[in-house]
Amino acid sequence: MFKFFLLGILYLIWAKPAWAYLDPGSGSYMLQLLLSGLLGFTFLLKMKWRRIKTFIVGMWEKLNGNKEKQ
Amino acid sequence: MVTKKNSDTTFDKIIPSRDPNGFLFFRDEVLFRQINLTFRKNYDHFIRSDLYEKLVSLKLLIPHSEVTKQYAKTEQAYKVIRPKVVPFISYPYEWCFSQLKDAALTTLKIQKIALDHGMVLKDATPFNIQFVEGVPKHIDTLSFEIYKEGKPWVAYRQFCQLFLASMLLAGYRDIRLLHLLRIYHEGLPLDLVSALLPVITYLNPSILTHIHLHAKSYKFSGGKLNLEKRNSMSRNALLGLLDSLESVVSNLHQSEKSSNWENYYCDNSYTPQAFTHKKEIVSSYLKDVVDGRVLDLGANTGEFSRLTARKKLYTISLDSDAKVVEMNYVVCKKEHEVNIMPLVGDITSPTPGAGWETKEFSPLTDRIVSETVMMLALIHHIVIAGNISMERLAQYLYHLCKKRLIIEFIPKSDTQVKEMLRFREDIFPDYNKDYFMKVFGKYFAIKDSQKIYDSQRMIFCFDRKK
Repeated sequence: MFKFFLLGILYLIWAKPAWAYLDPGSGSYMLQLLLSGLLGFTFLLKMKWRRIKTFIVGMWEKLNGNKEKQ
Repeated sequence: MVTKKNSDTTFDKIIPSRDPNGFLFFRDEVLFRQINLTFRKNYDHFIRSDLYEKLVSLKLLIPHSEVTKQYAKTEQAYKVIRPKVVPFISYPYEWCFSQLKDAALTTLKIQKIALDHGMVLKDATPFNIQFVEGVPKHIDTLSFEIYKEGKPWVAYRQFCQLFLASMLLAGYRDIRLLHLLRIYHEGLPLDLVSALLPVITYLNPSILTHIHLHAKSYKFSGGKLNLEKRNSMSRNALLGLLDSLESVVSNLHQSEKSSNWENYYCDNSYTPQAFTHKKEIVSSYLKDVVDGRVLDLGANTGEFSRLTARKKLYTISLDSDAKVVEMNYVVCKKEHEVNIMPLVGDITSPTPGAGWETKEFSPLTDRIVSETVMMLALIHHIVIAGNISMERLAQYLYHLCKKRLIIEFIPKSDTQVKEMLRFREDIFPDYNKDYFMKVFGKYFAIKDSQKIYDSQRMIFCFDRKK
């Protein structure tokens, strides 16, 4: 996956003009496909991190609430 | 559902559209949208999945009602709907930075909600957003299509070229670059944007991807990587893409270069007493104005637009300086001022008609005609700085104003006018109060005039002659 992504990025950096009749939308389409794995992975990581953060904040608030009651 | 016998359709006005799935048209001054059979599946899913209800309830979409097919213009019609009319049509090149930013975030929010209902936006253009009751709302029912699992976002290019690219240029370079949207309605060329952005933006992974690599991707056929065979983009990847766009847009702010007009009310030609008196005079001239739209020309941060907005009058608050329009918009948002529409526009060079046959986007002059027009502390900028004759100005205001004109006359003895003429030849022998009254008297009937306390300036109240 990483090899594919890296190869894709290098292609983009050294890209030479291709077909004049290529729809500009196809470049955007391919860029999304190329980045798909990375975007999906970072999104999952972000979601997991948000859950962990909510859990920790919730625990912290619960502990503080208990202390205040005492 | 509205039922009415089909009236004479000969004089229906069709709004030009490039979308084969439908079009808008006016009949007896009522706006309708025809949805063609080609869009049937998408429209049915849009309604049945409750996406329409959800977006309307969240004030993200203009509501509509279905009318009978008797209203249809062609045989290809599947449905005819009657969308709620937007009080004023504005275009992205007439918005300040935050208006464009809010429109971009609204578009991404709609796209995320649509995905939850199994749909995607097939267009992500600011031209599909209008400001209604102070908030950006989507206006195009034909923009929603059924999501096909694995398919990349078809509107990604449009979002980057129209929203992201223009905001990045305004944020990293200069706010005036937002005017590029006036030329590039289809989207700013990403190779141009990439070249104009500072090199430091290459270090931002989101900008690197969505702009710099995206610009390169146009030259790239992808043939060697067989990307067509990997025709899959997971839902999580799509959500990741939206998340990345949302985060880069949220963190953008307009460049901090100051403008000539942002401190106008702090550092202007009036003493505090004179300014209060000016407000009192204008308020008294607005007393019998109870309905219709107001156009505030040269509104700056909207001090005087607030006088009319408080009377529940819809007010177009126009100024040529994007920075003061930004300040106006920020205050409107903070104070939930829904009757003011802050707008960037220069009446000495108003935005023209544009698009195919110059008919897709109507000229500013046609859209801002209002019952009441206020033009305060602006005449010297138009006549002296802009070299527009008093006669032509009066004619133009006669076209813009349907009823009441409140205008401030700034004499040559005023310090601001003296400053304007300091280094140039005075070629304005007719620029005086008497000539002003004579010329404006041809088109308007004078109701009253008052001199502002502690100032050389005068406010005139006119009523338009028939």
